[in-house]
Amino acid sequence: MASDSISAQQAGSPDSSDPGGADDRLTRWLHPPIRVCLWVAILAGTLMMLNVTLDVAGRTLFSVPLPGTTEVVSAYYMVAAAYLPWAWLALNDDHIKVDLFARMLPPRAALVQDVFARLATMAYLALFTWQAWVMALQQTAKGEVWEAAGFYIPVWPTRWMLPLAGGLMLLFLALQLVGRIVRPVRRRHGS
Amino acid sequence: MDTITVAIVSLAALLVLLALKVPIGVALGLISFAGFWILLNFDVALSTIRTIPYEFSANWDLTAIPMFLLMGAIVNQSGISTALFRAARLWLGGLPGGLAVATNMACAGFGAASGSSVAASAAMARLAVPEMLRHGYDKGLAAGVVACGGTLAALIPPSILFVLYGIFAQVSIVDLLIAGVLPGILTATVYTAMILIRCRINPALAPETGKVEFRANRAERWIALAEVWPLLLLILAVIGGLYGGVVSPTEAGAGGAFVALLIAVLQGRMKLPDFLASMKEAMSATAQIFFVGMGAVMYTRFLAFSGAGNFLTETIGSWAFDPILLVLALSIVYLILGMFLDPLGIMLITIPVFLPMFQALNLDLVWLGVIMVKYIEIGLLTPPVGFNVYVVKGVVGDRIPLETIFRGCFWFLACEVVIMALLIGFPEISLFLPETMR
Repeated sequence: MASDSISAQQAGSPDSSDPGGADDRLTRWLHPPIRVCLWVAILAGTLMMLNVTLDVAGRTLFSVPLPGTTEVVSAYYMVAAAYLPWAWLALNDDHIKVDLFARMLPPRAALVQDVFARLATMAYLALFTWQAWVMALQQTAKGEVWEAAGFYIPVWPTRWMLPLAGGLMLLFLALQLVGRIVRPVRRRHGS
Repeated sequence: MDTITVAIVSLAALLVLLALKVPIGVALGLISFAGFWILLNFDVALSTIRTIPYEFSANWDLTAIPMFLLMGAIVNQSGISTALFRAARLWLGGLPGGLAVATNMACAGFGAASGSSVAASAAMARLAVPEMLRHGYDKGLAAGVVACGGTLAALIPPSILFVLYGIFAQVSIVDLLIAGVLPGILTATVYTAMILIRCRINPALAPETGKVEFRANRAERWIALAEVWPLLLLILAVIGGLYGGVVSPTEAGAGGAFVALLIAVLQGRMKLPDFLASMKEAMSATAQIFFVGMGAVMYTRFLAFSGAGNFLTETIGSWAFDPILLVLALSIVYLILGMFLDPLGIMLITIPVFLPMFQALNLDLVWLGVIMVKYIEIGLLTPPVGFNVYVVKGVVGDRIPLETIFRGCFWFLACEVVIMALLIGFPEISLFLPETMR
């Protein structure tokens, strides 16, 4: 656990899934939707680069900016990039944490600590997902739009990315937790 | 409980949660939630978590973050660092400690195309350390120069830390990015001088095999330069475009990423899988930053609401008549935090606490941004948890012990004392360039 975040960082793009075990069986079915979310974020990032480049090239070279760039980039691409990879980060255990004390702990205490950190994360995600869901319903009912140069861009669909990302990560962490608690018990029975 | 007590308890609770390995973003978010609940009521607490995240992320200014990350990731995946190192080595190899000087310069060049210290150190460690060891360089020097040279990336634009600081401190991001240029060059220069002097005094640190190679390869030097000039030109264009006010940081990042991609494809360095790997790297880093960032925004709002900023300012203001004293006090706080937290975490935790003090004391926020980023980068090099040192250790494996790397960093940290004294004593070093923009 302790060295995970560091070794993952230097690898640049970590793609190592969970090293087998009970949690693997419980969470494996979530891998496809998690990947799809990551791919949508990647698509959003690519479009952001192309859209902004076109806009700046159009503006400086031909004085013809691409209308609505700011709005589409901020509301669509940005929100996708900021939230959709969350569950994938959890899958790769890549969230930033403080590891100093964990390294000094005996395995049992480390497990307790891991469970505590996970429960705190889940509680936070549950609040986030619930409220993001409420907000998404509200803005959808209102048909939220942003005003761009002379026209309106509907942005309410992007509100749904938040509960989707939060919910997926929450579900993944919950199932993984169940697996982690089951695994040591089973191992003890085996040996 | 009165508001100030709640705020101070919240700080203590934050440290406890971090020590218990709770992710920083979660700790910040949960504590602000609890804080608003205690100070006001449950509904207000819910409404902060309902409104802040989306407002924070659907923000044009912050789009510079994924674009800077993407530019760095593309440069990283394209493997141009190999060419950069080769060119630097062919041009600088004849100097005392030439390979180390070349590594330092290649780090600066790589950092100017990427905003991540960790990526810069990892890339250069893979290339330069084996070369230096093959030539019999001192292990501490070899590992130290990649760990420390990597930190240049956070100073020379593009820099993720400056974008975040600019958002939270509400200072012009362009000013900050441009303000980092001279301190970055200063750091690279002082590092180089130190390497030259050390290797001149003690040639055993860096045997002179490089010199022979250097003389033999006069023609190759120009070939090596031909390979890297498009990237160097792009770096100049990005900095120049920002300085001239032609492009915003987001546009510089997006255009920079696009042109870097174009260069990499034309030079045959990048195929589709490499591009997708860059995207994956950039998007997951973006999501990670926003996960922590939205917690930090909530915590900032909570501290502002509780009036803790004013309280701390009054408490500290009574003894810190001299802003220099405050800056020195900061150095202690950052050195301690830097031993435990990674750069992003340190920045996002300390901004909500310190910024009100800086504002109250009427200090220049651009200058403080530079100082803060410098301290955070120094924190990457100090034991027990110098993040960059661990990154280098991860790359070099068993060839160099951890203690040797930390020992190698010691000389660079000594340089940092000089650099910090200059930056604190002469704010003009940071502020000169942004001021000429007006």
